[in-house]
Amino acid sequence: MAERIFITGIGIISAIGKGVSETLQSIKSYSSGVGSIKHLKTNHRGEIPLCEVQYSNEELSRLAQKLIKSTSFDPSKESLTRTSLLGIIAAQEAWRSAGSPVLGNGRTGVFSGNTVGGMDLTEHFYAEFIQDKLAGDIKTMLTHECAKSTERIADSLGATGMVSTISTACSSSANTIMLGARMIKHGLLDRAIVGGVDALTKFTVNGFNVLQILDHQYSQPFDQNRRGLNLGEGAGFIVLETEKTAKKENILAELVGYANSNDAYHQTASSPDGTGAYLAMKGAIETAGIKPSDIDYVNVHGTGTLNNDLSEGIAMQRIFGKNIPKFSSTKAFTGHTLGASGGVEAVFSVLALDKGIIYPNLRFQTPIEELGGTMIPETELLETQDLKYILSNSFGFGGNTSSLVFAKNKA
Amino acid sequence: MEKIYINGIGNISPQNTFDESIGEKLVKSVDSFFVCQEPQYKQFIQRKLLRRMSRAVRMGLAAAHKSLKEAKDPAIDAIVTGTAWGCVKDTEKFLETIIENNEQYLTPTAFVQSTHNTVAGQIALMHHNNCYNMSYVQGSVSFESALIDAILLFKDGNTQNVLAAGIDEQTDQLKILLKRLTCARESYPMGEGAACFVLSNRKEEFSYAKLAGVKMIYRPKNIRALENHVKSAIDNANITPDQVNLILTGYAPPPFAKSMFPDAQLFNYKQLCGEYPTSTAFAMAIGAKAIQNDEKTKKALGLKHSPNNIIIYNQAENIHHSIIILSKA
Repeated sequence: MAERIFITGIGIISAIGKGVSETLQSIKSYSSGVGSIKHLKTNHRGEIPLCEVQYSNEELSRLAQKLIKSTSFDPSKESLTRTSLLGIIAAQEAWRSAGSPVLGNGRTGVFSGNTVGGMDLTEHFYAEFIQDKLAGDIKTMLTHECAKSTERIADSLGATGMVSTISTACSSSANTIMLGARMIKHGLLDRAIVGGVDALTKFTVNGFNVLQILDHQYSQPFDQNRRGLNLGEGAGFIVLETEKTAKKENILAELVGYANSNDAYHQTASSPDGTGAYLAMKGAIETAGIKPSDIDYVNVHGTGTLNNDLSEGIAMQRIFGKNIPKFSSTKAFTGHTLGASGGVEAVFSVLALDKGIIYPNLRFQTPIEELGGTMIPETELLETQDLKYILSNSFGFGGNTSSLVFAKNKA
Repeated sequence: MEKIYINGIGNISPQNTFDESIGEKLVKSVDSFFVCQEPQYKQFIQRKLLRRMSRAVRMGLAAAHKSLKEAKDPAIDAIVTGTAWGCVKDTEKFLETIIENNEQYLTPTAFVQSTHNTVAGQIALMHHNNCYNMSYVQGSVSFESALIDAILLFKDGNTQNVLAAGIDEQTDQLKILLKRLTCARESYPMGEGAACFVLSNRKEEFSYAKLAGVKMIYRPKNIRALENHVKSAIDNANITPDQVNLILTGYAPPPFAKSMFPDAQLFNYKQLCGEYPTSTAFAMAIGAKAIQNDEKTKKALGLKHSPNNIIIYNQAENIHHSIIILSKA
């Protein structure tokens, strides 16, 4: 990349905590966010475990209100979806950790990845609507589109540059990071607040359930006996800045590589040879101008489904040969946060580089036989690691595959 | 600004714009809505696949097919789409079954086809394309977001041809919702459409026009701020205000039209396609054909001469404003 892209802020909310410090605390105590359903109103309570953010919408609204300082945006006066609330909370933290820069000059963009928008409210409205076409609060529909949460995030920050939303299923927020980097690289923005958000809904829970890829127990990514994924919710945002605007003391890491490709195999299943995943990883490593052997840790997509972990494992073997770097799936902690996962895991990657840590792949027991039985993720929290490059994978329905390479700050 | 040419167009709209540039007889809205004139899909899509596809996907695939054919089937380096509403029909279908069956006895088809990236994913699948693939869902600037991504791809290098599309479908339920929201009115009909373009860094004898600029403006403070954005966009496109011959816009004239472009002709393109979030893709299709001196399009737009430079201006609720600039190839 001609222009270096620095990461100066991170913000996160997920089932393992609100904010970076709570999140780290949960990781250090091996405390996973998966559990029985408390908030989502669904008949699957007691039957399917989820990784829910442990706050009601009212609590989230109060938390958001406390965080917003730089604008007159008032969450208590807006009709906000759970999606918007989670997004605002994580983006506000990211912005603050970047030193609360002033955003009103049109040079800061906000890009968010999202899959079902305001579905958390829509599905309640719709239950009334299909009984009686005149029933239900029609204003709910104004909060439905994916873009609405991104606009609320931008407004809460007072950002006036380009605002856009990407929806490429579970790779959505990895793609926003890529977009932000390219906008900065070509001089169209100085700064971009990028990442993504998704809230749990009956719509997604039932969708993944009927696809038979939900684990009814606690998920075991990259395990021979994996049974599927646990769905999660949350938001993860990072602040990207150009070399010119990034303040040295705020720099946490650098974004050096990215690539997006398409598996073009099946609407939902990954190809047997992991074509899309392979192309994404290869492309990201090439953009970074490094060799596969330079990668110190891979934060894998690792959903815990039979199909993904096998396909991703094969793609990793194609890239790294016998020398597979250390790797783990943090989805055993957070669940699969769908459109948010690329953002959540970007925060994990930046934290890993900044703190010199590698995350444990919780509940792993047996390596996958079809992968030769040698692909064993890290199962302990590793500290005082000398990490230079981290590869982060995000793959989704529709064949969308994206990979990012983060580098330790050398500035 | 990179030199980017429009080398192929597939435009499914309420007018007859798929088999012809535009039908002689212009269609009007019925009961506050415009509905697309759809082609015979069998010629592009296998019958067994067709059965499961929603209209959004069918229209997107057919429009992509047509644009590729017009551009003489070049190798495509990226697929970028914009859709605000996404695959509405499949979303409704799955949602209704969840509610009616009380979260039991569901089938996955509608769910897997409900994601906003279904059209882009299906184009990749059908054309065995492993390249860059993005889907933007930013309300009235979804298509513009896709175009800006395409411009970035040309700036990044290693890109010769990009397939860019804007797709939004209407459904019966959506029509009820839009009426309740008073978005759709007799005097302000809503519509739908799918327009797909092959953008290329190579000028061909069949190139329609040049994509000379795209700008998205979020919550401009005032008209002056908006004017400044428009000015910087036309500066970037290396044209002067007096060289702009036509502004394609919605029902209200752009607030900057009189002050900045007193000589440009104004045309409300939404009277042909209705209001919908990616309507600017329709405007780009007819604009490009007008620049290429297509007689039927010129007649439909009331133009005597083919324009050299066109501005497409759109805005929604004063939140998102956008301009797209087209120039002679």
